[in-house]
Amino acid sequence: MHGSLHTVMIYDVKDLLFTRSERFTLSIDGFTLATGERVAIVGPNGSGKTTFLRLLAFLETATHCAHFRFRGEEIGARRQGTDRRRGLGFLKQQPHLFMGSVRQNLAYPLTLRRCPAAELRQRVDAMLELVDLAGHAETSVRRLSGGEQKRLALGRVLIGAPDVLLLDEPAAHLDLRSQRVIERVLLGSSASLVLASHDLRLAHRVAGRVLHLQAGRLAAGLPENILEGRRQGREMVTAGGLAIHLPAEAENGGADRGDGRAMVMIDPRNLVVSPEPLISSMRNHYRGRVCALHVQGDDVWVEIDCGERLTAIITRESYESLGLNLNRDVVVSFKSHAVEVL
Amino acid sequence: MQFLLESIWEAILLIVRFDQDLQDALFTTLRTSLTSTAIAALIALPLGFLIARHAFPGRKGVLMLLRTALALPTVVVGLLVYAFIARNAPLGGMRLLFTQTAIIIGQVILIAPLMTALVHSAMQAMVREVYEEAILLGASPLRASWKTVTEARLAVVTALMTGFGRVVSEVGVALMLGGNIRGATRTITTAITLETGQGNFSAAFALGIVLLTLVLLINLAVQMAGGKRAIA
Repeated sequence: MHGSLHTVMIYDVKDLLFTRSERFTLSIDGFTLATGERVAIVGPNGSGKTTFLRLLAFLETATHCAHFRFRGEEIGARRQGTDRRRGLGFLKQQPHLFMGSVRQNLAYPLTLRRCPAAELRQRVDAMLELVDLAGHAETSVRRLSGGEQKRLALGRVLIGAPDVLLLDEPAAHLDLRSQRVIERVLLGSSASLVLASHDLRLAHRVAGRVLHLQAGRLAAGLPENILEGRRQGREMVTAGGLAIHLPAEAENGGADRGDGRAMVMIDPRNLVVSPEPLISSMRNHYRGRVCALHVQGDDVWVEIDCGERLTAIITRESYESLGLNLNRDVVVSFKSHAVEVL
Repeated sequence: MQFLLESIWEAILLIVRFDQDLQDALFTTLRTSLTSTAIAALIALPLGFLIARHAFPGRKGVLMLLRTALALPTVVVGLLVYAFIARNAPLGGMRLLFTQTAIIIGQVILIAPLMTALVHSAMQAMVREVYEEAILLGASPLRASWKTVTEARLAVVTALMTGFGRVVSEVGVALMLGGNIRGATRTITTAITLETGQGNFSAAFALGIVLLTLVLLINLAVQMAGGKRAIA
């Protein structure tokens, strides 16, 4: 969670505490965002992602904070005036679109800045193209679909050219076209970015660093078995020589990043560990050696070196019945459907 | 049925004749109702917005008082103002009693709480959403507040029209503070009271139809003026 000595930190937060009620507390030991960096915060509903973003957007006041620096200046996590938010864009999970047309909504931030008419028109037209709403300029916002409304809301945030973007579930519950437009727009943006999402796929595609928020605390996340490799038909071959059989739908798009390479994630709970290969419908089987064991409550994390490091989560009962120990030879198996293409 | 038909016919004749008495009553009604609505709106809009926007100690108490004031009988308001502006009262020297100004004062007191409560309800639903959104997009607090009001304009207009409807149809304040003086403070509603008291029910009913027609036309005008144009 730290950048180079000469990197300007957009956010530098330490020991932040936010309490709303007895039932909810957000406690962040430390958080930084360097210029140009993209960070994703993932976690289940109710974990505090939205609250954290609201604190970063100065819409909430922290109960306590050791220090809260924004653009190098100590300001504390207090509500701030308009000037402090200059250059900061926040896309809320449920943004409010103003009454009127698509064009009027996009123009609003520019009218606040007294943008000349010709420039305003040009920037609005450009943004309409970017968020794929060119044919809807004069459409009333009430007539837009959910995906179109979210694209409009994103466009309205981006049109002010913010250099810091906070996004709360930007692609949640959207149609595939809207998800792709939003992802394309975010990947093309040069802004420093904090993305809150429960969508691991979006998080890993857009962000360079993924943090996990669990019950109000940044936690060590689940090992997600993130692997990269070269596409070969229905398989992806990693640098470690693992040929991973991909799900059928991966052929239809999203699997190839455009350079013949792909990135996948395998939920550790979907990995099956056995002493011998199993005869089953699972297409992926790899021999390996147990190189680490870690007990976490009722779960046991088993790290297996099979050319790539894969982590499986099994129950204590299974761990004892299999008699697993370090350096034990095992087979790790999983279905192709367990492979999530990022 | 006969009574109804006679009253409708009498209403048509009244309008066609448009005699001086009707003119005076109509213009007095319009002048006092529109003025009191406008003044009450100047109080209710910012107050309703502020109560919706800010949490402050005693906010619940203020809302409770506003809601209680919704049930204020018009004659009680009239009495209250009368107590201040009667000849021997603290403000008696201002000679406000039995003037249109007195009626307006009473009507403002009558509808300001009502309109404030309605504006607060209208704003409450969207004050956080719209205000925050506008602030995040770069608006100053003043611009964001204005944006919130314009976004809630349909509900705000409903609040204003409700206030207008209350004063245009009330009798207690107009009678007690205006005195129902012909050509000066006689409104349509006090004229109805007069005609009813004299047993001229058809005439009273006809005046009622005229009043309702007036309110309908004003409602139509407001609706047409509102349209679908967004306000930045």
